[in-house]
Amino acid sequence: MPDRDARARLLARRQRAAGQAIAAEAVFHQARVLLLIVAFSGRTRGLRSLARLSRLDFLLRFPPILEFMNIDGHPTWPPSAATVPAERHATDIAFAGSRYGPWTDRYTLIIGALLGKQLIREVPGRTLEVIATSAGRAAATELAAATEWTRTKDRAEFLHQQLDITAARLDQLLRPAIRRMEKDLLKDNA
Amino acid sequence: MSKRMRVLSIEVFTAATSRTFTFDRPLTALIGPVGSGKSSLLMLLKHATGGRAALTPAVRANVIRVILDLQIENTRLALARSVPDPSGNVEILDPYTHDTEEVLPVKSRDGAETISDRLLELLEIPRERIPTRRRGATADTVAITFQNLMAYLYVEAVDIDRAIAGHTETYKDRARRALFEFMFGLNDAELVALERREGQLTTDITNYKAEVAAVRTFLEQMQTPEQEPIDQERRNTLTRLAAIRTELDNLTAGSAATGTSADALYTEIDRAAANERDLHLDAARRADAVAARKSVLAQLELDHLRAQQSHVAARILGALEFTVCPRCLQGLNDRPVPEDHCHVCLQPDPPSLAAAPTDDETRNRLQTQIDETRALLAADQAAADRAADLARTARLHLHAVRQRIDAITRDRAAPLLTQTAALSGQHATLLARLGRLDEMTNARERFKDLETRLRTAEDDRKAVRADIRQRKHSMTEARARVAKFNEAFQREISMIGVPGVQEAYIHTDDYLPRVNGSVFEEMQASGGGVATAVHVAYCLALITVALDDNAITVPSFLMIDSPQNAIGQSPSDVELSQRIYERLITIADAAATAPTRALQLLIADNSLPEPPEHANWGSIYAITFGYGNEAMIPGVWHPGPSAVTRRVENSATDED
Repeated sequence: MPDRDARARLLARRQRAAGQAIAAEAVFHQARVLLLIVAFSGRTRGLRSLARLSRLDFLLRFPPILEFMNIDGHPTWPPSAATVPAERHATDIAFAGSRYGPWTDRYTLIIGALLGKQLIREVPGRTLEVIATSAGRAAATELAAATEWTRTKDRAEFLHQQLDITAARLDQLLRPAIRRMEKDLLKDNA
Repeated sequence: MSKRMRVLSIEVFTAATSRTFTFDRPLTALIGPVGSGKSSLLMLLKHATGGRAALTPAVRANVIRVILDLQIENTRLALARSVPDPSGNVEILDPYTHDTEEVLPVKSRDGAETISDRLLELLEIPRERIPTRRRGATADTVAITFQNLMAYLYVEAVDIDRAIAGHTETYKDRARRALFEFMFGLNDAELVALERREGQLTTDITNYKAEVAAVRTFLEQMQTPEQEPIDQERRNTLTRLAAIRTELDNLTAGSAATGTSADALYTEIDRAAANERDLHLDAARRADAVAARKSVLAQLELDHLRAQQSHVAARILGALEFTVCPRCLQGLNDRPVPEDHCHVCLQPDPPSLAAAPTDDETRNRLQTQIDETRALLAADQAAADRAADLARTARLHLHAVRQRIDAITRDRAAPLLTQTAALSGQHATLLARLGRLDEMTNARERFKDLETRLRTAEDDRKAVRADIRQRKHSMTEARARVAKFNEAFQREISMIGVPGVQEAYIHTDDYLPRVNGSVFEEMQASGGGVATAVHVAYCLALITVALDDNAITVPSFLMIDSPQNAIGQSPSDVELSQRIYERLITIADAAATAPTRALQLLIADNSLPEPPEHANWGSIYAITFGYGNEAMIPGVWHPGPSAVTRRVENSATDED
């Protein structure tokens, strides 16, 4: 039954590719969220809530949004964290609006994984607030050492310095900014 | 012949009763003391004919209506009028049944027939309008009324030694004179028409002269040339206008002809424009494709970066095993886990996880895609650049063609436009000049027309005046009648024996008496008796001359109120009164013998004078009034002389 063997081999290869894709997707998000949590982690307090986490993470996923946010002083990414042309022109920008929202379930998975690997821990007495462990800091340092993640680490630290504001305020700033960005960059791309 | 006019009876109504006074004798005397109503009866008679009557308060308070039975020539008619009469109407009644047949106004409204018109018609006196001014006749006229005639027929007590037929009042005097001329045939409708025509022509001539002067001033101020040069210039202007029109038409035709050579250029410009549009669209489409390709490339590059990031994350984070359950966060370290089994769920690892990571595969695939896309983008970019170049070239070409056609049009059209504008300007100037010339011609024609009219009017007036003179001159017969009247007047004066009169005659200009060279108004100085006697003589002369001459149309009717009033009571005065009454009786008796010429005399007096020895007053039919039940107003007790008031009031709506 050479056909059956070939089919089994094809299936196995597809399963392997899918598993790899899922695994790669999972660790990609875990790495980014870990860098964000590390940037915001003090000794006793971290990102405070999942809502605040998800909104700050939106800035990491779509960095051009920063220039459309109506923040006092109009801060821009520092040179080491500046957006690259691909980020501005990618077709993904068109879907930024549909990817903004209370995606807390997805973050639960990511946070769960980071917790499972003991890279972060819960703040005692507070639900759903986490801070980085020493293992998490070590992993973040190792990630940031790779050029692929340096920019993300700088951006997370910039957010901690410049945008340490409430979740509600972030929401107020982000929603109109998304509309402006889609309008402006899609026009550019057209 | 004299016009026969008789009052048959007069019926006076109060609220309670009525009384009829009949007058069937030639001479009737109304005798009664002061205030008993004899004068009021004559006034009511006048009132009934539509006249303005002086009615005493007693009459106004008690009498409500009066009916007058009249005979004028062969017509009988009855007139009824309210007392007083606020409506200003006189009713014409059936003379036998006294049923109302017509209602005529006293005053003319909108030219409707008045009671005066009706009475004058019966007396065959033309209802003429006479010029208001004797000299310098104009178009203004006034109508003669029956009341003007009444002034001749009714000698009121107040007027008897004062005025003859109202001659002291200007308007009445014109009517008096006109009536006299009618009655004596000195005047007739044709003459009046001629005089009216003369007045109209005089007015016209004055107006024409003013207009001619105005137009002449205009012509002089405008320095209007004579008609001949105007016509000459008009012809020249028309010729030049025609020439300019032809030239303008030629220019229009010429510019249309040059259009054919520009057609090729216009075709080319159309084609160039279409080409430019197509190329521009193509370039834009290609630019859009390049942008889309760039977007895809950016996404691929981003995916590639992410794959690299995942690769790094997998190396660092994937190596870490779960030591805590990601669901319940309980530790997993204190339990045995077989080789190749999941640390969390303790199931055998799937082959995918067991196999070696193949991230490179993904990254390689992405890199290939990126390379391909870059190549496509480069090709697209080149094509887009080429298209943009072509579009730019096409635009330049289009611009050049446009400039060329602009230049051609400018070179050809500009001088054409200048020329057209110049010619149009000349055209307008000539048209304006033509308008001026027409104006001048009109002014000249108007002037000529006015001059013609003025000349015609002047000629007409000359002819009319000649006609009037001729007509008046030919009235020798009429003047003979006036002479007969003069003789009759002198006879009456001598018969009555007016004291102190050396010379008396009728003046042929105003038909008024002159006594000892004095006019009537001045006679009062000799005593009211003289004036009264002259007045009575005048009236009697009128009647007698009319009775003798068929051509004189004075009505055979006379009312005299209180002839003795102004005469006095001295023996000589009484004799004068006697002579007056004798004259009245003689005339009345003479008339009575000629039944076809009915004469009627109505005299009101306090009492009849004592008859002289050789005569008696037997032929006087006397109606006597007294106080108490004998007063004129029926059914009203007269309280006597102490209640008599001399004051009279005028009825507000009565005419004059």
